[in-house]
Amino acid sequence: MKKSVLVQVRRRVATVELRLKENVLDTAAARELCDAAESIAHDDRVAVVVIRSAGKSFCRGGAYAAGTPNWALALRKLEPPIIAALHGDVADEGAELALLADIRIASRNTRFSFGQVGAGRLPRFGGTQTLALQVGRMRALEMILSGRSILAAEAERVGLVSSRVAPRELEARVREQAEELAKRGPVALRYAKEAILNGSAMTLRQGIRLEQDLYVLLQTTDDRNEGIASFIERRIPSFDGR
Amino acid sequence: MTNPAPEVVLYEKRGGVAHVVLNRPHVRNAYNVAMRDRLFEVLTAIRDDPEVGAVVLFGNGPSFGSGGDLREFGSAESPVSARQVRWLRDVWGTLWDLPQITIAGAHGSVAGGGFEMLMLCDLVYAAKGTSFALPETGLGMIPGVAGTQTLPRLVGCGRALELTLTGVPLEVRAAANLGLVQGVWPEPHLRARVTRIAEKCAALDTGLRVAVKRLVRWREDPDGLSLPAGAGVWAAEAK
Repeated sequence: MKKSVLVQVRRRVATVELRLKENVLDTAAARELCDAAESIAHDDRVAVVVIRSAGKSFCRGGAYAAGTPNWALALRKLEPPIIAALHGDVADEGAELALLADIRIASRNTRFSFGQVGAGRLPRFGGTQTLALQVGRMRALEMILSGRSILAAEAERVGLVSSRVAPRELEARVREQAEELAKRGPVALRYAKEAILNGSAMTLRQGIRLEQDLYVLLQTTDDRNEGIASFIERRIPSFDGR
Repeated sequence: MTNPAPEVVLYEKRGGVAHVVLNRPHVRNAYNVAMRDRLFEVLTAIRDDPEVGAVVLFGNGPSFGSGGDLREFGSAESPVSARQVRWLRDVWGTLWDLPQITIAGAHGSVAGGGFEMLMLCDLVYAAKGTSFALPETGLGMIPGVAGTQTLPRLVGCGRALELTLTGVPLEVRAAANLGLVQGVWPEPHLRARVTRIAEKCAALDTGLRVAVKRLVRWREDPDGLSLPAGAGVWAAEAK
């Protein structure tokens, strides 16, 4: 059977490519996505994850029955930063998938929508939480309750995507962003992500404790010594992720 | 006779306003142990001074602040004692918890801890041409002045992740659009404008001022900012 989710690791960047039938993440694809997340989670070489889709759209929706494996939990457990390359329709489960990324780069033709409520169901892959964290409570409610589509320009304005590019530039821009991140300290990237995402569910004081503990833990890594040495010697650092 | 070394943080009280000026201009106000100790001394003095109603924070030289002084990082103590000292002399918690209104005026390329210091203040104004960046992950570090916590609370997780993971600088206009900066002025006017706002804040009734500060922050910091006697009544009534 043809695979719906391909993973390739090259120079610290793990690329997850969706090859979905009719741009829909069906149950089989959902299972493959969980497996992909699992394999990346166990690969210490990976500093950055990219999710993109080979189809006409990023993803127009997906299976949501109770038996569908929860790929949102699997992806949320990934420590390295995730970049999503978005184009075409980013709808329903597809929109929820995009929101699990840390940096979203969208082609100008991207269209976001949450159609679940209109179809008499709820987002079940984190969308009610991740959307509100991204665009605020009011806009999240408006989008989820009304099902209104928003285009890339508005998505950029409200902070749903970090940048917007011409369709033919999407791939290059995402690759460039991934390579830029891969040059930074891999452990630092993971810890910065952890401090921001996990800290946002804590009181400020607990969050600051978390940040400090991770900060001090980083002091024991080779990467941090390399970072400081490179700064003092005015050269480009070379990190091992240790 | 040589002159004594200048203070790394200047402190002066004018009326009800405490003026705090970072003063290591030759290294763009890089934060080192001397600055930590002096800042802790100054901030605790302000905290305990009932005559002070507002604090202004500026930096001398080409930039408000460039973050931790990496030249001193090599000589750092063990992680265990670094962690202990961080909480023993909690400069940043003291700044955040000041019962006075804290107002920063930033300029130049503000980076790392310099940027994070701003986000611990109540109000931030900036000169035209100012930029803000968190370059830490590029050096194998993460922000350590609460930036991973304050930034997402100010601009949302998405922007916070982007700025922290990529280290890309944010121009002052973009910072103002995100609500990180409340006003942008030409650099020659910055200090006077900020000081005028501070004077207005300092003239507020103490109880009212403290209660407003606490109530506005209530959701993000439910256990923060202990109230002086009397202010609790304001807080209770305002709720």
